[in-house]
Formats: sequence, C-alpha cells, structure tokens
Amino acid sequence: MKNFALVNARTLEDAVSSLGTEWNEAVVMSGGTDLLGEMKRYIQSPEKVVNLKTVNGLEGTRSEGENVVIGAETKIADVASENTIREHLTALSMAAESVASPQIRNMGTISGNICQRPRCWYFRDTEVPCMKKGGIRCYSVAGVNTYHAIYGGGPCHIVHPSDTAVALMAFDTTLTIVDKYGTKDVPFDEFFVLPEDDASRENILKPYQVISRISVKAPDDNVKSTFIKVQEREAWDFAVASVAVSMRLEGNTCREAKVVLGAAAPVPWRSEAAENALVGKNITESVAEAAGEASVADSTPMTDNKYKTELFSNIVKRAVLELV
Amino acid sequence: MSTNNRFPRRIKTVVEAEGDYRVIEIELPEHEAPPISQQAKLNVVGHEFPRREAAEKVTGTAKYSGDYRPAGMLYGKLVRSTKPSALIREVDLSEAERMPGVKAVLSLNRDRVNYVGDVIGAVAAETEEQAEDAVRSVKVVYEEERFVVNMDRAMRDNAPKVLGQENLGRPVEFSRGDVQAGFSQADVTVEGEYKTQIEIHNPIEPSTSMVTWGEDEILLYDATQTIDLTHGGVIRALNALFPDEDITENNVRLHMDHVGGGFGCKIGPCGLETIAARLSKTTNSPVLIMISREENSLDQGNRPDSLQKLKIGAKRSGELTAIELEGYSSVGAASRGSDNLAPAGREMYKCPNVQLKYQGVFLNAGRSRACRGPGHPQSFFAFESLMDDLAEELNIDPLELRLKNYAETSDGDTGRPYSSKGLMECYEKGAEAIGWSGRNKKAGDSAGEKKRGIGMSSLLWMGGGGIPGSVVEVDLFKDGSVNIRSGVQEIGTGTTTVMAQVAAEDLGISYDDVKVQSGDSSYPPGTPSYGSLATASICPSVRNAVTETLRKLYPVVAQRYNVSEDELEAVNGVIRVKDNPSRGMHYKDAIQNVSESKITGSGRRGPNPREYVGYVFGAHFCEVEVDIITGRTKVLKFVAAHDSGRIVNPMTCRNQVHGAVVQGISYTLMEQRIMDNRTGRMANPNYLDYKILPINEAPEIEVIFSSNIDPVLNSLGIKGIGEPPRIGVAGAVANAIYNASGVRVRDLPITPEKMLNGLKARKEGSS
Repeated sequence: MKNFALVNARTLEDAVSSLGTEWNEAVVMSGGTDLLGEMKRYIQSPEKVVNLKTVNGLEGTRSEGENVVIGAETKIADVASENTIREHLTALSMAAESVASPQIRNMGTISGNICQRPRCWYFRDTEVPCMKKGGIRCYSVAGVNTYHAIYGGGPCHIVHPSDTAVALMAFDTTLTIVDKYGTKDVPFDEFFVLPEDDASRENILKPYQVISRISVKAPDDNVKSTFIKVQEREAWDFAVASVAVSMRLEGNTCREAKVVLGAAAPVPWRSEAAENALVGKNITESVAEAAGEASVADSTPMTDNKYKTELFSNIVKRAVLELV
Repeated sequence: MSTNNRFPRRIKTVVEAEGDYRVIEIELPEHEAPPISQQAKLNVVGHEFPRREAAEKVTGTAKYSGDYRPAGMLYGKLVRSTKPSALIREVDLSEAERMPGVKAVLSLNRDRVNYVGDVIGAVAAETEEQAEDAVRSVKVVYEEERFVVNMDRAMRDNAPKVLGQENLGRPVEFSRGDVQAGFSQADVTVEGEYKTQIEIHNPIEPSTSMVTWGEDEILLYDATQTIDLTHGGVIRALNALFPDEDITENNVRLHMDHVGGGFGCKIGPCGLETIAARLSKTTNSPVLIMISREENSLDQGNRPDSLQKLKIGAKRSGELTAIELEGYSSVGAASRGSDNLAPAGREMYKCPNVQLKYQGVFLNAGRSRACRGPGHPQSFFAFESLMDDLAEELNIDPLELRLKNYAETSDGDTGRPYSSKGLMECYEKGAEAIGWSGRNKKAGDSAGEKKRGIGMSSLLWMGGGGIPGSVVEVDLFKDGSVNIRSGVQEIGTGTTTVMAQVAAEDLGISYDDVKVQSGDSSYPPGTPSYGSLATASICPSVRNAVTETLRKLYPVVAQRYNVSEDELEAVNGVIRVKDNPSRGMHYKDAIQNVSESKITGSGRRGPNPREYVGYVFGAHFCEVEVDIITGRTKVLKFVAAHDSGRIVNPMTCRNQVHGAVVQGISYTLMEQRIMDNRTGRMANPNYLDYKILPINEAPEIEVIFSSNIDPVLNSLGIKGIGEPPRIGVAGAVANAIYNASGVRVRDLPITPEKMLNGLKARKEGSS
C-alpha cells in the first residue's frame, strides 16, 4: 500500500475542505472495508484519506415528518436491526442483513455500501488496464463474464455491487450531498451513472463531495416490500442476482409497484416492464410469473451469463408472491 | 541383556504411497511388538482424546513458523512475473535497492517466465510494507510471447508450446483383458464426458519459511509436511548455490512446532527456504517469507482439472464387462505427470476388461501438485456419476449395482488379495444411516421448489498401509514420565496425539504421562505426512520403540525372578515371565533398580507384507436440497462410512472426516480456479471470487467406521484416513443432485449457473 495522509475530519466542513478535485488527491473513508482492500491492491492510491467516522452526527436513524432519515455513517448492522426500517422499509432491512458477514456489517456503513466500487475481477486486477481504470477496453467482453451485466452494459459491463442500493431504489429515496459550495438533495435514481455516460465512476459524486444522509419516504401500511438475494454461498458473498420489490396493495390488487434488479446492470436497475406487468393486476402466480419474464424480456446477456435471465425471472416471481 | 544377533539386518522393501511404488532399503526392527488383536481390551488406543495442541490453537498461543520473529528479523517478499509467458530482457533492481528499509534485493537471473506468479527475484526489508513497495519498484522488461492458460485451448494443434514441446505429456496406460470384446459382450453401454476444475490448496497457514543463517547453524522454521524431504532438498539446493561454503547436514536444522495444514502443497521444499536463506546470508539477519493468499493461488500448487471420456459396458444383470477411459489433466508449466485418473475404473469394481489412458497437458499457469487424494476425487466423480446412469439404464438400484460388482481382490478381482476390505459393512451401515430406501425412485420426482434427493459414491484409496523405516526414541524417566521423540511433523491431523496414545497403551500408563517431541530435523527420521500414511507409519514405530526400551529393563526383572531374559515379555508396561504372568513388575518399579537417570531406547518400523494389497475403502451417502428457483444446492446430511482399519482415536479421526467432507462439498459446489484467456491471469486469486464453502453451509455429518482391524499391514491394524473422505464426496453429491432434480451435471463445480441451465433444458425437453 502506498503511504498516505490520514485526516480525521471533525465536521462535514472539515471533511469537504480536506478533499481535492482529483480522485488521486484524496478519498473519503466511511467504514473503509472496501477502500482498504482497494488500496492494498493498488486499485486506488490516494495521497490523502479523509475519515468520516470521526465526524459527529452522521450516525443513526431518526424520523423527520414522513421521512426516515439515515445518517451516512450509520452501520449496515444498525440499518438491518433498526425497528422503523424493519417495519416500514422491510426490503432495506433485508438487504442490509444480507450484506457480507457480521464483521463487515459492523464496520461498513450505509453510504459506503452505496458508493463501494464494483467487484469486477478485471477492475480489481491492477495489472489489467481496463476501461474503468482509464484503459480502452472492457476485458469482460471476450473474457469470463459469468457475473457481469445483462442490462445497461457497454462500453463497460460491471454490475453494481451494493445490496442496500437495490432496496433503496424500491422506495422514494433522496440523498443529501455536501461540498464546499453547499448542500443539495438528489433523488436516488439520479445518483447512479451508466458507463455510457462515465465508465470510470458509478455515480455522480465528485472527488470533493460527500454524502451526509439518506432520506426515505416512509410508505403507508398498504405498501409491502421484500428483497431476495442469490449468492453462490450463504455468507460473505455478493449477489449473483438480487431483487427488491415494493408494492402498494389493495386486497390482492397491486396499485403501485417498484421492481429493482441488483447485480443485473452497472446501476441498480428499475424494471418498468415488470412493474407494468403488476400494476392494476390481481396478483396470482401467473401474474408474478409474467412479471418475472418481463423483467428480463429486453435484457442483453453476454457469453457466460445467460443463466441470469432465468434467475431474475425466477426470483422476481418469488419476491412478488412473497408479498401477497 | 539378550545376546541375540546385534547386527542390524537390512532388507529391500517396497514403499507404496498414493499408488506409486518405490524400493527402499531399510533396517529391520530388532524386535517387533506383537500385533494387537481385534479382541484386545485397550485402555488408551481406540479411545477419544482431543488433539494435544487443541487448546493452544484455539486460544491463539500456538506458534507457527511465521510467528517466530526474532529481533532484527527482516521481511522477505518475492518479485513475481506479471506475464504468463515472456523472455526477460532486463531486471533493474536499482530503484528497489534505494527504497527505505530495504536491506537486500536479489535477482534469480531467470531468462524467461512461464506463468503469472513465476518467481524472478526477492527483496528483504525492515517492514512487510517496505518489502512490498520495493517489490513493486523492481523493473522487469519482458518480451511477451504467446501463451495458453486453459486445457481446451492447450490441446489445440496451433496452441503455443508451453515447455517448448508438445503440450500433451506422455500418456499413462493401463489395461487388462480385452476391452473391445468386453463391449461386444455388453447388453448396455453408457458413456459420458466429464470435466472437473482446478482446485487451489488452501491450508489455513500459507507457505512460510523463516531462516537464520547463523555462524554455526542455518536454522529454518518451515511449514512443511515432510521434514526429511524438505531438509534434504534445502541442503542440496544450498550446496548447489554456495559450493564454497561448508554446508553439512548437521549444520542445517529445520524446526517447526505447528503446521496449519498442507493438503499436499507443503510436500518437499516450498521454494521459499533457499530464497530466505540467501537473503539471510546477504543481510546477516533472520528473514521471514510468508506468502500472501494471492501468491498461494498462483504458485503453491493445485489439484489439476480433468477431462474424462468414460465408457462402461454391462450385462442386463448389471455385471460390468468393459471400462474405457481417455483422460487429460492440466499440470501447469511444469514437466509433471497427470494426476492418476484411473483408480475408479481400474480398481473399484469387478470387471475383466479395462483400458484406461490419461495424460497431462501443459499450461502457462501454476503447476499442479498432489492435492488430498490426488486424482481420486476426479476419477470417482466421473465414474460414480456414470455408474448411476448405468443403474438407471438397467433399472437397478444404484447401490445394488455396486454390490453386484463387488471386487473381492485387487485389480477388479484379478489381482493380489486385499489385506482386508470392510466395504460391505460401509455400504450397509451408510445406506441405513442416510435412509437409502427413502430416495426418489425416479430422479427429479419430488414436489415443490426445493427438491430433495439422495445419492452415493463408493471410494477407495491406494493407501499402502504405511511407510517402513521411521524411527522413534523413547525416554523413560524414573518418576514415571515418558518422552517419545521423532522427526515427524504435526500438520493438524493429530499425529502426535495418536503417538502418545500408542506409547501410553504399551507402557500401561496414562495418556497424560507421555510427552511427544516432534517437528525437528535433529530428531530420528520420522515419516512424511502424506498419502494418508502417517499414523500407519509412525505408530508401529512407537510400539517397537517401547518394546526395545522396555527390553533394557529385562535384566532387572530376570534377576529378580531368576529367569533368563528370553523367558520374559512386556505387556502394557509390565515385564513378566511368559509362562507365569503373575511373576512380573511394572517398568516403573523396575527402573528404580538402575543407576542411570533415565532409560532411552529406539525402535523402527518394519516392512509391509508383499503378498497383500493394503487399500482403504469407504462409501459416501448424502441428501441434498436443490432450490430450482435459485439453482442453489444445499447438502443437508452427509454420511461417511469408512474402512480405515483400526481407529486409534475416534475423535481426531472423525475430525479428519468432517474436514474432508466439508472441503469436498466446497469442491463439488463452488471452488474453481478461473483463468482469463486474453490476459493469461487468474481472475479470482482471492477468497471472495474463489469461493470456499462457509461453515454455516456444512451439513450434518455422520461418520461411521467399519469394525475391520487390518490383520496384516502393521501391528496395530491401521490403514489410514487423511485423504479417503475427500474421494467420494463429489460423486455422492452429484448423484444426489440428479436424484433430487433430474439434472445431471457432468462438469464441476455444480454452480447455480449450471443447475439453472440444466433445469431450463429439462423443462424445455419435457414440455
């Protein structure tokens, strides 16, 4: 690991004033569980690491009007166990519970989980000059792409690694971003960027910005949500495929739906086709199955990941049926 | 003292390890401890004792070779190739030499590299981080060449030649009878093409060597499975490197207290020893090299993959008439033979006509090495999968088919007799324990989204019964305490625990009174920890050592009872008159009559009987649940029934089986080395992407040991356990998956991807 300066920020102002305008100047550390690995592997070698854990007031969950506000530094374990989240944002609680291992959940934070870098093995190999690291090629195209994107890929084909982001996308979520110029709220679905817009990053954050909080509108009691994650082993694994579904139900009839696919695309992927297959329908097994099929209907799998279409189709169906 | 022939008698004998035969010359034991009979009532042997080092290990106080960090010690790191095949034009060490904390940088003067991870040079620095930074500062100018990193491509005509010769190694062939005639006699022929993946050895302790090149002694703390082999290899290497130094065998000492597993990747020198020694000599400081998990993935060996084209012919009755195999396994960038892909076809069942051929394939990738049961898990996965296909074709219960072809003697009923074979009991008890009769009569024939099924596999291991020649020394102290000593290594299998048990049994004392000294090249030659042979090799030596040592007290007892020494025997520590056992005394009493402070003796292991084949047998059964929505398989219950001869310590023995079963499930369902064809690099040299089964997915494991005690192999009737419980796992799980889901996967590992593809094909096929 390259030597670096560590800044233990006391306030948000402190933090943002320590940041630079280039990624190699300074990076933000939240839980640090991914950052440390990246630095050890020389994927990132910043001059300075700005620690947000030392900033007061960024940790914890509270209600503000109709919103559940989660501080950026709230531990993933706390997101998983928090009663309000369990009750009203069930999919988020389940997604947080599914992250990695207890150790990582106790270190890792919600904002860090959303902003973690992709697990693509070509990206993670320093010796491979892939597009995400400034190269000209995505090595997954002619390489081993078992875990890569079936949606939104090109020119880079990573999948977004976060579980909690998939669940947050199934709700009405807003992020608060702070920089030295001020504070702004960004709708969650405008936060992530596709490689066609910027292959080097996964979201709109600039090197000089940090997330301070995540605000989720608490849905009423008619909205139910769930999260399913398929991983190759039962602990300490990223999703091969995941899905978060939230539905407003009147009796058995779906009035509103959000279906978000994880590990399907370089961003958490809303499937409007699946949502359209549900809204207005009485939820039966065949409707759920149709939603599953719709969720992959226009996907573009690569050479090794066609199985993911079967998998998403299956888990979307299972998730929908779990809610009725 | 007896004045019998005092000159050691030497004989040539055959050592069999992992199916290889080697002739060695050994000194015969002067006095062999008499065999312990099946009926003997034992106080210590056969009883359960936790491993001697268990408390130390679980409390973190056990010291491994990498835990010795003397003052002034430097950290060594290796400079490794980042290219799969290249000529080396230049290695520039100058920047690295100027880095902070760096004390030595050396180049191995390689002119080419053959795989990513191939060693080019090394550095030593005051901290690990400094050493790592220095490694990155070494500038290597490569001239890249064409390469090939996967077996399918290496077998193509136009493939780059990895070692400058054909990529196919010399084939190994075995045949008996007339295989064509066998197939023409068959009513049914089944065939299949099977693939297995590359498995990386992942011992919990990575390969480590800490070397101090001192004035009087070169001291190595080394993680090895073979003290003797490693010690000898290091001395040869150092003498070749430093012909002007007077490096004699007695001034190179290898020591270790604990080894955190090996599974085959710590057999012989690991390559770190000589580099650490060179760095230590140059810097005049102790140097530790402990490799990273990534380095372990690239360059410490692996179980090779395989491609097996297998064909079996049988009569309608189920009787096998012919077996044919064409096999390949990639061995990496090393001129090494293929893993043995023949054992199941050659040996498991009665069959007169067999033709088996297999060969290695060279790749620009880290070399294969022996890996827990070399060849056998691959061979039995393919063979036992096809046996189940045959059973279905013949409409015979799979277990019934195996019983119909039960071989009473070796080489499929055509060879020498087995020393013992307790397999029938394993089949019976295993089938009962898993609830065999409750399995789906038709594959995939269970309702719901989570489908359950039961499968099985036979297994055998060419154990051989133990390696002759190992020596143990015994010290009997006057206070009744005992030391036993041998240059064996405790690699986490419980070797030193069973040694103490055997000594305690024969001395008639408590287990706690025996201390075991091991892990040092200055002790008498021990036995390697490989081939599932350590217990069967060293425990008879312990017995003979106890026998010899007690004989030194015979004069005391002979005088006391006024008999000749020839009239005496020692039973459980009591030296007594053979014809009148009431006349005798315990050695603890006898020893009070000698003037020395302790009595020391030694004994050695004798040869194995040549007229028998000493193999280990077993049967594996399991129940799985396949989630057809996610394609995931969960093993719910595993029954491992083993005929390993006498079980010296059921607790440590079960422990071995548990470890192997979990490792085997991991291999079957998730582990695989993934090589990228474009870059020639391993895609997953880490524990996130190279998936290993987490412990929460370990099933309930029931271990059954047959009542068989081998009557001829050694005086304890031990056969061996280390590797056999790996061998049937993949076959049993694959067969259970088929029974559950109707999907036959012939390509390991059986991932959700393959299951979903199979389930989809099955759905489309049936609709």
